[in-house]
Amino acid sequence: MIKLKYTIIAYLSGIAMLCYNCTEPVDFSQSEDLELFPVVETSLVFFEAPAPEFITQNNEDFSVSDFIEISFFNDEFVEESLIKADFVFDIENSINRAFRLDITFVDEEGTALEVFIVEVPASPNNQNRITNFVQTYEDEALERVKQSTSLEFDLMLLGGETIEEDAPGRIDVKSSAIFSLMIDTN
Amino acid sequence: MQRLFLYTMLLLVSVCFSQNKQLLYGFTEIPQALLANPGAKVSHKGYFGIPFLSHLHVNAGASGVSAFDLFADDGNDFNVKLRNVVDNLKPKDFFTATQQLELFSGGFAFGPEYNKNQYISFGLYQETDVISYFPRDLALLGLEGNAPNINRPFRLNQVNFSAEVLSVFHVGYNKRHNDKITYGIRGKLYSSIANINSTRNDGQFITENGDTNILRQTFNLDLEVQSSGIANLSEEDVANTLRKRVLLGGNLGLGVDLGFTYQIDSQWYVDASLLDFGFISHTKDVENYEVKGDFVFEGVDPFFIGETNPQSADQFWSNIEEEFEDLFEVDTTQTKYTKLRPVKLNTSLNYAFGKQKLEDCNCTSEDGGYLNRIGGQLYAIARSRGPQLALTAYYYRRLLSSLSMKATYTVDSYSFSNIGLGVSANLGGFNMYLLTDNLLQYRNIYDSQSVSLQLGFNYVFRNDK
Repeated sequence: MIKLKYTIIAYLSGIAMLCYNCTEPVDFSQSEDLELFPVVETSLVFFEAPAPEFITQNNEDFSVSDFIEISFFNDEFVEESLIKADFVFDIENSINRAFRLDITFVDEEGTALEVFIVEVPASPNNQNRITNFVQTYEDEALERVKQSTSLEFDLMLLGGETIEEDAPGRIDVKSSAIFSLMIDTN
Repeated sequence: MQRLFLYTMLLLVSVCFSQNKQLLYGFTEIPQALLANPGAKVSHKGYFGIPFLSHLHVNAGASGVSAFDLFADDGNDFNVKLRNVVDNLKPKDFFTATQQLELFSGGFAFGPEYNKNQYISFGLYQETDVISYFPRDLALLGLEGNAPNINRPFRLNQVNFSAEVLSVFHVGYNKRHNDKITYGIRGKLYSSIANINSTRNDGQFITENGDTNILRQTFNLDLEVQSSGIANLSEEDVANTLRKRVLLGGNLGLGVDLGFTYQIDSQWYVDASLLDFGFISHTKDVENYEVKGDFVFEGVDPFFIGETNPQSADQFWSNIEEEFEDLFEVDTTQTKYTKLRPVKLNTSLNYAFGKQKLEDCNCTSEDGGYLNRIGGQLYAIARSRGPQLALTAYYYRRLLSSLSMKATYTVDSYSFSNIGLGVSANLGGFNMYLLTDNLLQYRNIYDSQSVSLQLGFNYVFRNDK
């Protein structure tokens, strides 16, 4: 009988050890507080052109436009998670003409929702002039950007000296977009 | 029991598992010790396991992190704790999970009446085996994104996981060749119920400072996931399908366990076993997924000023979108595949001492054997990123003829302070055992990086004395 007692006590105490007094407070529901803030940076537009490329027939008001259709902002994940968008432009100009680059966010009906303008001064001595520009969208403006389905680019040379065929200098535009996201379990 | 079950389930969800059976190995009073070494010494005439209760093994482990690190109710911000965990984990850190449940088992000795030196054991058990390495770069990409990580590659070979649910039919033969040598072999027929694995990934994603634009993004993807038994598992007949698969209706494989015990002298012996040397051929309900390709993205040129054949920015962008979609397009194939089982090696050196004193003559028992044993055990398991090892020192004590215990100290990938305790008790013919490790962490189970629990009930026909 003693053996039996020993055996049972040993076995039960083993099980008891498993069941009692073996945890400190944990709270698995904390995972619901999960919030991630990744920042995604991606290349945007770029172009490079020497001065003679900007010679047109009337030579005064050179402008060129183009657009891309984008579905990025209409993606459900992006719509929910995107909390800030920065558009970064690094522009070099060594042409003796100022120019501006208009970037317009356009919706399906062709309505302009948001526009930002990068103004680049002329370079009278044909030295490289560097313009750094950042356009930031948050809150309501960002919500409008999220409605856009295409991006329009308009490049316009501003008034100034006539560009000759052998005019020195060039324009070099580089850009990127920085998207700050907030991902949570809700 | 219900509480124990609940507790076990909680463990299953809170931490993951590994396969070391340092307590069971060499604990020959427990019939299932033959599963850890088919060449172990057998000290009974036969047994049968109580169906579904003869062997339950759950073993959870995570190297480098515990559930408490993340989920402690300490008022600290969960996201800060998550960040700390990710910072502390390395790509070689892993989460593993193993669960075994014996459905039935039995064994019997045979041979000449005066020397029944051979033993057959058999059974069917179900096993779950999960391992995932920590894909640190991807975790970092999710936490931070690529913007703060310009020029840093996010490596995809860190994605490495496999999970398998299978049933194993086995028959083992054990022979005490002479006083010194005992050996055994076990044949295994695997029936894989479901398998998913992704162990041959390569490539990277990197954002660098570009030439033509501010940034250049390079995708180099070579990802593959293999699965069997999952794609066509429809909701309606799941129970029936699973039942069939448990009973050899799954993807089949073969394997073998080998083992021996060598008695050096009356007190010293060595033993070793090689388990699950085998494979499973995945031919039914196979579905594999592949993502392969290279892509470099520097941006869109909106104005092709002066070019003879100008392309609109939108055409340019459409091409990029197309290439990008192609890059991430998942190719689905039904190519059959074969996976090796994770081979396990056990070996130990043991020293027995302290003979039992007989009460009536104040002398020691001649044939009662030694009451104490100490030894060292080595365990290794082959994993896709190299072997994982564990070293154990143990002390075994027979407390009563019907009650014995084993205490272990184990050093492994999880910790340097794993103390385990196992008890095997016989009540009449009934044998029951409870083996559990990481006792030091039982004050707070969530803070332990690995937990293992084995328990079971058998009916044992003991040798006549």
